[in-house]
Amino acid sequence: MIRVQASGNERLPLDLCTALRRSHGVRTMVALTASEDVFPRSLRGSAVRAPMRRASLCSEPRAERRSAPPSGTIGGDALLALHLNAAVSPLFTEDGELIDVRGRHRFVGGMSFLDSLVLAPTQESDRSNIVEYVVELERADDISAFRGVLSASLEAAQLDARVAAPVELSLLRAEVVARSVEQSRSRLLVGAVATGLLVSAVGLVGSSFRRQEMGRRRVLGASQAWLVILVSTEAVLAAGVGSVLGATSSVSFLASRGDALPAPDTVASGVVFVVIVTLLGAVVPALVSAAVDPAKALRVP
Amino acid sequence: MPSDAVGGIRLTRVTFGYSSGADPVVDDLSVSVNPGESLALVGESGSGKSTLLYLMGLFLRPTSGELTVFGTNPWNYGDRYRSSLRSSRVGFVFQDACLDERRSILDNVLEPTLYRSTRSPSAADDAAKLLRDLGVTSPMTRRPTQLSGGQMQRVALARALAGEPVVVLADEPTGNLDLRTRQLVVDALFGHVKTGAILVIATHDLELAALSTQQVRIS
Ligand SMILES: Nc1ncnc2c1ncn2[C@@H]1O[C@H](COP(=O)(O)OP(=O)(O)O)[C@@H](O)[C@H]1O
Ligand SMILES: [Mg+2]
Repeated sequence: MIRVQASGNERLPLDLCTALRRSHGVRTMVALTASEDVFPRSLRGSAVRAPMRRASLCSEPRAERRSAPPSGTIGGDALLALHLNAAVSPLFTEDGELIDVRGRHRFVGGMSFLDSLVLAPTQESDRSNIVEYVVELERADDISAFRGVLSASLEAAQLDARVAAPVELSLLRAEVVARSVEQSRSRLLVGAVATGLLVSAVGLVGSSFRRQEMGRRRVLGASQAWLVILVSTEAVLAAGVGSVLGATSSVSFLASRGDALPAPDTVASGVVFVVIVTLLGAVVPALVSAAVDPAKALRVP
Repeated sequence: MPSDAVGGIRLTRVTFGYSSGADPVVDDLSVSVNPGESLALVGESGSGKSTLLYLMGLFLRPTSGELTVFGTNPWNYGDRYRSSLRSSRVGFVFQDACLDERRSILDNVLEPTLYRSTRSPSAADDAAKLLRDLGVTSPMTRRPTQLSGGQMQRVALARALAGEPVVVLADEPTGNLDLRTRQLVVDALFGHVKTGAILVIATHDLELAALSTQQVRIS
């Protein structure tokens, strides 16, 4: 395989792609992106809903495609880390035509990969953020010749892209997994902090509405520890019920669309995670509730 | 029968102010109440009756002087000690009934049992009986919002008396009640004193104050 590393939003122009494909029997071309914006929503799970339709890398006009589907030029082991929940924008050809991107899903390490991915260049206006193309040739012995041609073409097209060393598919897959794991880790962290802050904020607002109640409980004999336990338990119950409901409805939504489903342990750990973060986030509101001054809370104005 | 209240409530030269700069609301006050006695705190509005009651209810801590309840200074112990004293030995009645509107009247009466370490198996039956004795005729499952002000105050009274507390603290308990309910509340409170309990009432109702063993005028 050949890797082409493009800086930022560099896209391979249509005619270049077409020329390369024609001259070198390109089997597969995959774009690796730092974000998922590049892939259309229809890509997710589409293989399940529709018979797999293959289009060529650099899409021919629609009429031509219709006349000869499926094109045999694309296939094999192309892969892509795809985040199921990512917001994605449509993918267009340079003619402004929406490209039909279809693939077969496969799960590796909690992520969805696509086999037989078909991809086309995107419009200038599209936020593609493609950082790398991977090209697989039909014959491995063509690689060095192809690299030369590709480099020359990129240079001629004045693209800020360079051809990297050939890679093994397994190494590439490992790299993509690692990249995705890192990305989801940092997202998880951001999510955790956001969830914690949200729980605290909601809890604080809630505790200000419940001053009277907390004051009454204190007067009737609730200790501060009792109130802390009350508020945290309520938060955890709400988070538990909420995240189970949320997980159930999103899984059934995915299922109804025929999308690939996340592994059960991924869902379960998500629920546990939300509950733990909620417990942490509930600490501040719980302490605030427990510190209520019963004399003030009960005073009839 | 209320359990032992030996030592009563004793305030020795107690001073309290909400802020250190301002004049104290309670200034160098000494007073004590023993089991089987009642104490009326009388004075104009804003004179500090509620404040004194909150000091006895252990919500406020004296700035200086000593307060003992049943012979010990509760401020030498932690929040758990003071809370358990409140939940199992003190009953509170307020001018405003302060009920939980989301729960039935029976559950309101039983609320203090939530905070106790033990709950008698007959608590619910006792609470229902007490509600009936106090003239609450609505079904026990009603919410307080469906009751009249007088009925709500009866429920609050039942909540205060249900655990047979040795101390009852009442803040303007007859504040805005009709005559019949007022009489019922007065009878119930002073009837409870006869069982050996301590009653402290903050009130500007001089008739009510006259029924008490002792009166303290606050200015
Ligand atoms: N939480 C508080 N902070 C500051 N001052 C208060 C507070 N509560 C009451 N006070 C003041 O303390 C004084 C006594 O109030 P209070 O004990 O409610 O009197 P009473 O019950 O006799 O009407 C009043 O001047 C009141 O303004
Ligand atoms: Mg008052």
